[in-house]
Amino acid sequence: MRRSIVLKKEKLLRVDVDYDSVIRSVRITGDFFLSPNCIVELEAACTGAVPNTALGEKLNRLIIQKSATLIGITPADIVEALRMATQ
Amino acid sequence: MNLRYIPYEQHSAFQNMAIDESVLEHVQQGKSPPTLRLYGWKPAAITIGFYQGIRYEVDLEKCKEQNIDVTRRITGGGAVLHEHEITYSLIAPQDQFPKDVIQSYEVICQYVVKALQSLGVQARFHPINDILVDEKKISGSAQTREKGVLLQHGTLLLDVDVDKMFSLLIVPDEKIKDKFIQSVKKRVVSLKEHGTFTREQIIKAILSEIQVHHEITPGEFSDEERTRAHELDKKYRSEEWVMQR
Repeated sequence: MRRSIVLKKEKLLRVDVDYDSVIRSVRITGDFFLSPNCIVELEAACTGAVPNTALGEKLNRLIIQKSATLIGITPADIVEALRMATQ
Repeated sequence: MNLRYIPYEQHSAFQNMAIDESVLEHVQQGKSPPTLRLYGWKPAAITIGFYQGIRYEVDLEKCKEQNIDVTRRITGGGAVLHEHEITYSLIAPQDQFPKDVIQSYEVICQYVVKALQSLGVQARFHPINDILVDEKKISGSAQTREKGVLLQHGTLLLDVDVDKMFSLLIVPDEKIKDKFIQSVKKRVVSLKEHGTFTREQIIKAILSEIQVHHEITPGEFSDEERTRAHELDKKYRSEEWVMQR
C-alpha cells in the first residue's frame, strides 16, 4: 500500500510510504533543516523496518554518526508519521 | 573576520543559487575568502527548500504561464517567491559562528535586525530562522553547513504580493484557500509598509551593522568561481535537480 501523511511540527513533515508488513520505501519531505544532508541515508534506514521506538533510535544514531543537525522535526516525528501512514 | 563583499547585483534564480554554491565550494577549498553577497532576482522566481516535495509546493503550470523560474536550493526551509526583496548570503568558516545552529541563525539575523532598527523599523529575531516586525514575518533565512563552511542566505521583503504568491504555490487545502491566504496576509509584512527606503539606504544599513562585527572589503568573483557558477547554473535549471523530490 502507498500512503502520504503530513505532520505539522515546528516545521512541516510529509512522508510518502510504500509498505506491506514493513516499510518498502519512503520519501521524507518538508521545510525542515538537515545539515549536512543525509536524507537519503535516513530514508534508506527506514526501508525494511517497522515504525517503532527502535527505528527512532536508529535514525537518531545515524544523525549523530553523520554529525548532522535536524531542526524543525525530530526522528520521533518521522516515526510518528510513518506509524500513522502504515496503520 | 575579513569578509569579501560582492556588491548588490541581480541575477536569475539559477545564477544566484549557482554563485552561492560556487563560492561555498571555493571557501571550502580555501581558494576564496569568507564572502558576503547582497543580491536581487531577475526575473522573479520561486525557490523551494532542498527537502521539499516540489509537486506538493509549486504549481508548475502556473509558474510556466507567468514566466516564473523555479529551482531548488541547497538549503532547507520553505518555498519563497523572490520578487521585491534584497537577499543576502554569508559564506564563511562555521567556526566563526556558534556551533548551535539556531544560535548561529540568530547571530547572522541580528545583523539584519539591527540594520532595520537603525532605519527606525522595530524588528526582532524569531527562532528558528525568521525576523519579525510588528509580529509579522519580514525576513526568512536558510542555512547549510558542509565541510566546515556555513552558508546562510536570507530574504528581506521590500514589497509582498501574497495573492500572487499563492497563485503560484500550492495551498495545503484548496477548500480553505481564501481563509489561508487571509491568514498569511496577517502574518507577513514588507518594508514598504514601514516607510520609504531606497535599496541603497537598506544596503548601507546592513553593511554598517556587519562592519561593527567584521571587516568588509569590496571584491569580485575569481575567474574560477565564475566558471564553476556557470557550470552549476545548468544544474539549477535541470529537471533532475529541481524535480528530485
